[in-house]
Amino acid sequence: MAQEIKSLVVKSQENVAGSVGNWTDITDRMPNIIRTMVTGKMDEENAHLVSAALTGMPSVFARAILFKDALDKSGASSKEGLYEFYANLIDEWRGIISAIAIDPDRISRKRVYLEYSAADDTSMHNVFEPKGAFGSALMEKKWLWVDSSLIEGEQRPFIDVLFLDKNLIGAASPESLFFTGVDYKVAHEGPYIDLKSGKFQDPLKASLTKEDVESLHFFVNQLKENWSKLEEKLRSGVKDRFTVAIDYLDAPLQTFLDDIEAYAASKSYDLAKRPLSIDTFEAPFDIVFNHSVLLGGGSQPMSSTSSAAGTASGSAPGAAQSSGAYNPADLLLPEGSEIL
Amino acid sequence: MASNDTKNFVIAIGGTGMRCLESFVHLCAAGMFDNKEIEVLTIDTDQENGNKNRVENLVQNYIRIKSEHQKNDGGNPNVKTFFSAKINLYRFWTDYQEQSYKTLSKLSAGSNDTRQENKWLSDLLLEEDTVQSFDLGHGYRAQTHLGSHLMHHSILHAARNLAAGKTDSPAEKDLGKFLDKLGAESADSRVFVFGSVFGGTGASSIPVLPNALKEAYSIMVQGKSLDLDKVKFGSTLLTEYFSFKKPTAADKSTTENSVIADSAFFALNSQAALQFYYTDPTVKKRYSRFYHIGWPSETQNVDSNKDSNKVITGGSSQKNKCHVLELMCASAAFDFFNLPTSELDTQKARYLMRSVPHDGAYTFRGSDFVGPKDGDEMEHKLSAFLAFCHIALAINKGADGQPGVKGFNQRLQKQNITAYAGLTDEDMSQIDLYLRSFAYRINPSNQELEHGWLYQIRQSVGSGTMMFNSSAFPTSIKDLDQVDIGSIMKEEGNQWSEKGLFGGESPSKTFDKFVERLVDGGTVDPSQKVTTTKEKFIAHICNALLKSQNFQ
Repeated sequence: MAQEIKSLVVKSQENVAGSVGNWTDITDRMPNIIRTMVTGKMDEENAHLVSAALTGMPSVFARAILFKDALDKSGASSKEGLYEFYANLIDEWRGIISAIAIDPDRISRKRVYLEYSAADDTSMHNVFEPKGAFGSALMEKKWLWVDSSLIEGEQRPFIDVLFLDKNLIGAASPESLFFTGVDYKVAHEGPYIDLKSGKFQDPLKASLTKEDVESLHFFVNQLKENWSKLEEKLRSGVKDRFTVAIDYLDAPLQTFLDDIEAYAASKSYDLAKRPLSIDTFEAPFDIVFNHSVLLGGGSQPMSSTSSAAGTASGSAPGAAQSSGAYNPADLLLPEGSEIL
Repeated sequence: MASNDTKNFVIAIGGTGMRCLESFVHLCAAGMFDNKEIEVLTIDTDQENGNKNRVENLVQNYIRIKSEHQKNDGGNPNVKTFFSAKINLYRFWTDYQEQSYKTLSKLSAGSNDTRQENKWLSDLLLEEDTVQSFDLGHGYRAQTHLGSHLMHHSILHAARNLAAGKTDSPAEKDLGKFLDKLGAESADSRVFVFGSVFGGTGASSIPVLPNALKEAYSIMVQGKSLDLDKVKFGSTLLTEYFSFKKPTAADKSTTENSVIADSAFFALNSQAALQFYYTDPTVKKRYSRFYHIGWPSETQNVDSNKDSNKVITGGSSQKNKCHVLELMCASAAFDFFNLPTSELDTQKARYLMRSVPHDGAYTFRGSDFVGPKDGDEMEHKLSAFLAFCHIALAINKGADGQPGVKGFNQRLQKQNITAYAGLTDEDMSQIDLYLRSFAYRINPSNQELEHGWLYQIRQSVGSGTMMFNSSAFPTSIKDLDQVDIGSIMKEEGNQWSEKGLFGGESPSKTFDKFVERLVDGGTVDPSQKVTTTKEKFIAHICNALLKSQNFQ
């Protein structure tokens, strides 16, 4: 009878047979081992506890990394363990994107530089101070969290934290576009909020107006069309330190777009292009998140610009209004209006 | 093979890391790391942790055994003998003194803007009511996202105190000495890290350690830097292999205890951690090799070791039994330290695993741990060391607290081997103590046989086998009288039992034969580099036992 062999690896559905008596290289098989790990299924009652307890990711940026991983693995067939949790994160990711698309005026952003507040005197600062300590915790990834359009000596790691009204809800991320905070709770009503938990939810699970769907469709389409510009910018910052690829964003964005279109069809909404005006973000995120559709007024001939990618990066909020430009979307009559 | 100039460093982190170190030290005692000097750093958040105290006591006793009487300098590396590696111990632990993340971070300090920004960042990434608030005294409680940040900066904090010359902390001073060694040897140094990826302190620290040490060295020795392209790091990626009682609401009823590690989440923690270790650019850049070691069988519940029903978050009560996977981790270090340098000259981490025979149960042989080339040697050396244990503990009653090695030495003197008459009672009692931790002792409070390391390792394979004949592992005090040191190994060619009057094995005759062999041969050779009386005594026993087993 042939001798049975067991591999001393984590419980996984991946059949990882090796030979006895030596260390077998499994570098290329690790993704499958990890993906098919036997972790048991979360029961619904414990789902939020699991998310709280899911702290095995040994980085203070675990929350951001989990969103990246969730998007990267969104096409995986496994729905157990971490993958079940990933599905929840994608719901939240869709929710925060929807909040920005549907209620851009309620969203604000604050850039926090990840440096010690007493940076000039390194012997005096508290090494545990989050601003500085979280910055040093980025290590090699620091180069993803800077504005690479600046010269290298001036590149400072930062994080753009986001608020809905005055609630801290999450942040922008070079690897997942957005991620939500670990502990936020929003009381504000909206199709992207699960009122029971106060967490973001996939708005397509709620009731959306035709205007909401059009805004969302426009914004998600914009993200899909422009993520590669962000990737290009990240690569210029990271250089050859490690490989940067965020092309995994394309599939979940496309799926989101498809789902939005299916939702619209189910509601018999005939989707019209509803350009948004978002100028909340600075470089490097402006190239993918911001959008201005401005008509010049005053003494200039009326003209329109329609752009994501950079047109607003140098302009302070409100600058467009002061020159007399305005968003044509503001001229649209509310749905249900009648022209007499 | 690695060159002779390679300097070896071991870092053990957290409870599981300490138990891996325990296995590593026992392999050193058996002579598996011949002629090496190994710098060992233990790191924990919990100075009182039972696993940590156990292994530190073990290492300190090892160092005493290696040292000349009352010198305690750890002696010198030797060759082809027991205790052949020289071990230097450094201990670093964080001292959070009832602090939480919130108090440690001083979230209420600084300008309004600074306070606000620090709070935003904290609330964005760490749960306020739990993770930011629990008492850090007993470690990171499986909150590795918090732990990695705190351990990284605790090391930097210590380095800054050292640079400023304002520390009285023995932990910080030890870290400084370890960094000095690492900095001095960085031309061809290898650092192997023991820790789990599913728990708290070890899981938190493995990813940040290379960078934290580099940054700390630069702070401590201004103007100098550790060249991490030359210092090679390897580590275990040890996933869950034990479980414990689920914490109840009552266990978590106070803010300080609001977070308690729950082994039900260990598998998820492992999955998240492995995902991180496979994709994070810093980890992949800093480590040359990861040895993934997991347990595909039923996990061991460690609550059976404990008296209390309360979940133990740490402290002196946290003292788990040893497991065969910890020996596999120690064997991973053996592999890492013996690799040719060219194998480690890579810019990309490699991930490795081990397969073992399993015919309904595990049947471990030496080759399953260290490969066929070294496996035979491992079996012979462990077998010889176990025989030494039986001689001192069973035949000469050392298990019962009596001076077993001394009793054996007296027997040698009766046989006119008087070279070791100068050994002090203290010298010999240190060896007794070590042998008890390796094999067994009789618990004076209940007069039961209490298992040491090798017995616990064997127990962890259940109905399987662990290198040697089952008769090599007496299970009751009564059996100790019948232990036969000549029939430990499986292969007949390595057995040397003497027959009694009726043809059966005679343990006492085997022992007498062994003493004769000590008289006739087994004397030490200059190539063994042993100089002190104690080293010669130990080498003489080792030589005679290996010769008895026909080990060349």
